[in-house]
Amino acid sequence: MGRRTHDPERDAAAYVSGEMGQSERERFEAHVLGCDDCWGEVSIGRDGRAMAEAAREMAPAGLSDSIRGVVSAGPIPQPARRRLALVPPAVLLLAIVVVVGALLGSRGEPGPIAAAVAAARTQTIAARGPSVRPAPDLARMGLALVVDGRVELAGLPSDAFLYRTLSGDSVVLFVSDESFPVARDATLREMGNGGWSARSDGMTLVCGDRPTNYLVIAQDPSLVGLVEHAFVSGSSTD
Amino acid sequence: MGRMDLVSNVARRMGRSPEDARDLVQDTYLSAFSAWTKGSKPDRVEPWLATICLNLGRSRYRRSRRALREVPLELARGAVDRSDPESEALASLDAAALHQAMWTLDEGQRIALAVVDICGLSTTEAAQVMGTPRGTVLSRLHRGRRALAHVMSEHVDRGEP
Repeated sequence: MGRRTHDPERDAAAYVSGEMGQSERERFEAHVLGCDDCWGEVSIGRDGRAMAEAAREMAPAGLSDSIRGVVSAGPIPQPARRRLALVPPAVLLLAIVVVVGALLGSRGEPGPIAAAVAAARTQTIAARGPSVRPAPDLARMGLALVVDGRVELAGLPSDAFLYRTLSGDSVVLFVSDESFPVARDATLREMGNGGWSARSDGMTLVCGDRPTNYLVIAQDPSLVGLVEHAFVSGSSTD
Repeated sequence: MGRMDLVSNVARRMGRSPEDARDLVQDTYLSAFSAWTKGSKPDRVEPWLATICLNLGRSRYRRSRRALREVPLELARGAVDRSDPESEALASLDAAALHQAMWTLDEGQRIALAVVDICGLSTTEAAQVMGTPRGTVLSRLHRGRRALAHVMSEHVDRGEP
């Protein structure tokens, strides 16, 4: 293999983790073809990594709020407390919100975007009534409709459709007569449809305004792309 | 992965019950907030939060081991006998089996899997978080993956849900 050391465990771990540079990776791949030990370690390492990834969980719903509450009410170290005692309570509360927001990963999204991301993360559609539009049929993409309804995203009225894949991943499609605000740090897309994409709080978002205003949110970027494509192409053929 | 999800996933591998993990997440943010107000602002928040969570989880584990030795026999029996229908239902799910399987791993392996495979940190960052050389992280990572694959394979062979 042309390397000074041969450690199947560490090599397999680095390879499966995608942490080898291109030349190192090519050398290792050539070596694996002729080394039963490394072949076996890479195979089982891949299986184990896939299983560990499958154990990934979303934080429980409401945990952010409870942490804000705990931090706001919690003990502040003495030196900090003496300094903060001179600060008006409203300013102190604002400071807490800003710091905890930074620690939680909140990036100061526009209200409708923050509300949409929260709904997608917690897979909760707080419907105020039935959706105005029929739910797009995405069964051909392997997506089953879980729930739909009319929601208010920080004052922006929208239909919301929550779908789930066979493997349990969820994705939410929002469709509205009004434009969705652009997410902070969004990347504008050259699609000619006013579209943008963004990442927020661990979720992937894509937005467009043709054939109508829509916003798709899921954890998995490929799932977001799949649903956007199905929605846009399905709407254009209706 | 969002920061809250990251801390929550590390906590789930440090605290056996959802309640323990939830408490650990809250304590992590309380400590982080306290450190932040004292001027500690890391370059990358994710590994910093993971380190705090890991250190708090370890000290809790040490405390709980000491406390376990002091539990009266009657209380220990009561704790074992008490059935929890919700826990039983959850235990029938594959996700729960996976979670249980991770708890069969050596602590170092379980933490390496949590920090790298679940939370998405690099092995270099994991080495800083775990306070070990990167080579050790790679070994623990691989042995943990191998052990997890074996445990889940046996689980499937037994035909358990």
